[in-house]
Amino acid sequence: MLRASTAVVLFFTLSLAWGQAPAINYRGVVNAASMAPQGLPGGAIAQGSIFTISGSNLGPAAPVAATTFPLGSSLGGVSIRVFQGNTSVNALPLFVSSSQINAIMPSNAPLGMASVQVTYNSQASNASPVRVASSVFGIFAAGNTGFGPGILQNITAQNQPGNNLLAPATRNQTVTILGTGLGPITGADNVAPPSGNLPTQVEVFVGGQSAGVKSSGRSACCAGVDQITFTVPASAPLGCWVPVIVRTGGTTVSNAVTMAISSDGSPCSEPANPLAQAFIQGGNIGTLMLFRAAVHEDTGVLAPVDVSNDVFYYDFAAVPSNPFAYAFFLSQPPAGSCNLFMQAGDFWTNTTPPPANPPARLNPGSSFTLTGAAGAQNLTVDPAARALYLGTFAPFAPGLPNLLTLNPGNYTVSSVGGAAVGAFQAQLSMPATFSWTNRDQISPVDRTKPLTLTWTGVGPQQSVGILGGNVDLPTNSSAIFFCVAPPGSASFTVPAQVLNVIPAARANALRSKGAIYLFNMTLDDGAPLSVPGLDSALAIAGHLQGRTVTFQ
Amino acid sequence: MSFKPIRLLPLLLGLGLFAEGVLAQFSVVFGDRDHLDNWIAQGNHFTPFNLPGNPENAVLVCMKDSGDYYMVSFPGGTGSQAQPNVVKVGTSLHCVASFDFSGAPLPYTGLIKGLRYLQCLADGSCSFSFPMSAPPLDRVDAGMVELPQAFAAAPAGTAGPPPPLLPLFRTVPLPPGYPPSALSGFTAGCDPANHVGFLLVEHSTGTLWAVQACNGTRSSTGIPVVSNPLQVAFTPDQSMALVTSFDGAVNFIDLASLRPVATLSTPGDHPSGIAISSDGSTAYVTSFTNSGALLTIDIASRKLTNRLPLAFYPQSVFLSPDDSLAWVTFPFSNTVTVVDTLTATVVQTLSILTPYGVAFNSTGTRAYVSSRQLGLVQAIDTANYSTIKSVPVGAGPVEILIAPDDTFGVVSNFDGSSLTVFDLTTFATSTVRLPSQPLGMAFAQ
Repeated sequence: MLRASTAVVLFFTLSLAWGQAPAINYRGVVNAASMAPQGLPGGAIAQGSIFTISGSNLGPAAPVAATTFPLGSSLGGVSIRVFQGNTSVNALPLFVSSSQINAIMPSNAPLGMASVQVTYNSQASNASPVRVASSVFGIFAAGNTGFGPGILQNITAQNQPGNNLLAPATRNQTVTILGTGLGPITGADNVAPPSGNLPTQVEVFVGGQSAGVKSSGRSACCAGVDQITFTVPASAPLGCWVPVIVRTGGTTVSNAVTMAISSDGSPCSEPANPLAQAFIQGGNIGTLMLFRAAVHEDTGVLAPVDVSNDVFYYDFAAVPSNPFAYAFFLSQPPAGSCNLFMQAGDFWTNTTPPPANPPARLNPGSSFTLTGAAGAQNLTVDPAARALYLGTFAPFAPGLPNLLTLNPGNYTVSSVGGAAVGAFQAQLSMPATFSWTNRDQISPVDRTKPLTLTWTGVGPQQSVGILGGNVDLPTNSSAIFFCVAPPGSASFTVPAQVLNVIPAARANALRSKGAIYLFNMTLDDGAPLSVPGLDSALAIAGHLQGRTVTFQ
Repeated sequence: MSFKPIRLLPLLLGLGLFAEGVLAQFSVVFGDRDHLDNWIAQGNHFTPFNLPGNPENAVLVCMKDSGDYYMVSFPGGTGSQAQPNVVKVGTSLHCVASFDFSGAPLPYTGLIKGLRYLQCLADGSCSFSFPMSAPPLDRVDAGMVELPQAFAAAPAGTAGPPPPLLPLFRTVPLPPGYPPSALSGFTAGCDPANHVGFLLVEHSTGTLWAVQACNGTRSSTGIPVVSNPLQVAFTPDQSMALVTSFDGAVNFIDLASLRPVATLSTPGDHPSGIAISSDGSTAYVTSFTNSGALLTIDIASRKLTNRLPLAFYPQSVFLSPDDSLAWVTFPFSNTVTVVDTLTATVVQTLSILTPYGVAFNSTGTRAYVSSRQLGLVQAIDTANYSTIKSVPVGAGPVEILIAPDDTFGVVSNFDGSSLTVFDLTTFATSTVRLPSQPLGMAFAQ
């Protein structure tokens, strides 16, 4: 009786499993390294590259990986068809599971818009659109997010250790990038990769500096994996998070990852970033910030709009030690360089995936006091949040009171402390705002040319951060750049290879969100702050200015 | 350490960048300037006051990036004591809005078009201004608004007091006959230079009527189309309208001349729903027959390029923002079929009782489907077609609109003679009654 019941249950379970057809998620096919969404210029899948399919019931519950050559067109009962009209080729599965497949796009896959279809246990999935290109390179990142520390190897006479925050490369050292998408090969994709260079033109930029490329072709390690060997430029900036990007064919730019570079190969340092060491080595860290954000919007509106807001920002967190530590703002690029982010979602509205290794927040308490020339102001904050708005002024709306409070001058932020952060006082000096001198001349932005931004009113030791990019709403794709100008500079030129990744604005202005922000609140603009319970803290006061732009 | 602008920036932007800009492009506004004048003249306070004149209302919608919005409605009635209704959804007390308050009735001849600003502070007070610069609106009105103490919206699906009645701001007289079956609006909305704001489809007479959005003026003559027209869609450049006729045709209407310029016959098919790709190249049309199909039409050549057989009686079709998917509603078979437009193959079939309208958020990550029989709007995660939330709305929900800034949706409840606004984040709802049954809807700039 028991046996019969068990059999029935098993049969029923198997029937259910058998009966559910595989389904590829909407927009569920991306480059396995860059994870770039399809709506971006770098969102195509290259012939011969590894791509990832996400979905449900795509394959067996217990993952199966291909381990030997030749690779078959079926793995664990899973096969993948890539077709365009009457042309159809089979992708080569490398890893299959119920929710994810990694496979090689055949070198002879049809170029242009094509469709991917998964068959598992004789049941076919929906067709999912994909754009196939000859070369679109993606660099593998340690966090599998397409950004942050990349998978790079420092080449020495003895070995090839992985590059990380504790094991940086040096200038003039040979380094290998691992990625996928250099382009097709002439031989079969299912056998051991051929050695030698591929014909695709390859450029590597390290911290914005062009690097000498020694070789670029398939990696001997793995099917579909490419490796690019280059020399770290002698002029490359030192730092823990130096951006690395690859441009193929003179036009298509990869995702950006970071690498660590030090003068002698010892663990990297960030002299201009007071929080860096605590962030890398692990500990409790915090940031306080007072700033005024002024934005000018003249794209997609009936009339230009200016709005200013004063903001109190507070963030306290416990971070673990991690040789691949990365967080968006803490891991800012070295002065004079730019980092890139290509992600699904609307970056400006916080729907993009969080950076790798999100730290645990610490409760700083809910009561702060802000004291300035105008007197003391009690600030009741939500410990789980990060920002409190202090006041607004919108001159486009006449008659509205000016509620801004952070006028230039000295301020004291006092806290009675919270569960994890002790009481403290922070002294901050709110500077006069700087002037973005060519703000009104930069839009539209030609993405094929460098973009120079100019300003005045920044101190000789101050850096200016630049954040810009565009969101292509219909495809749910964001491409963002984050640059830091050298201290005391009055201008910065965003390189064309950075702007290349930004999606063009749509004809309907409401379908794109292009913007550029300048701010003098980079980490080197902050002052160390002593806070009981924290290993390292920083207080920053400054300004952010932004405007909408149209990327053409 | 987690200080990252990836979290910070949205907050910055929410204070006045994108949410505002998006909002400046459209509004859901009914009202007239007289009421506002009186309201402002009485000290700019939301206190009871007399609404003179005809029973007309003002509904002002203010939104922000996090999905909060305030809706203020002025119940109408000649000489009545009007207690404004203020509904707040969400928790944030900051709210910035700018929108077009179009539709000024006579005797105002000038177009009322300007930015509005509403800011609500932590103490519950709000300031509200009306910069009106164009003659004769030569003054600036501003004032403080006192929000009533109890204005929290009832949670979705909970019982509450009867919704306030929202008389129609303007009705467009039409010839006797059946009511218009469809309405499609230009995104340009109220533009005096544009003589077409909306197209009304009069099914019974085979006629289209062009309506000026600013003043509600209807075209003097109708636009004849093939009999039994059903739905209409505009090309993105707003040069052409395509109208389905059940009696076997798709009509091409030149919007400059308001004349039919071509007709595509569809023998054996009964065109019903229609959607046009964002590049204006392709139209997708459902064939409302027992051998249902999704027709693909090349607009430039005005030719049928594909016929995808589907289940019986597909009614309407809606394109995802990236045009990659077409969602087709089957009210008789209680399903929604999702079609991959590149391959013209079915991606997914969803079971939804009596589906009617579909709308997407701007990024296409969410779809909202109305279920007429259940009185629900289903919010669906398009990544995997799972239902995130079933939102009770009014009786018989049909068409859905989603605000371009993804803060709220509006659904017309045909059977309940009401409109329901639902928050896309909290799914809180607010419903206003209408004096008649709403069907078609359009945002007017």
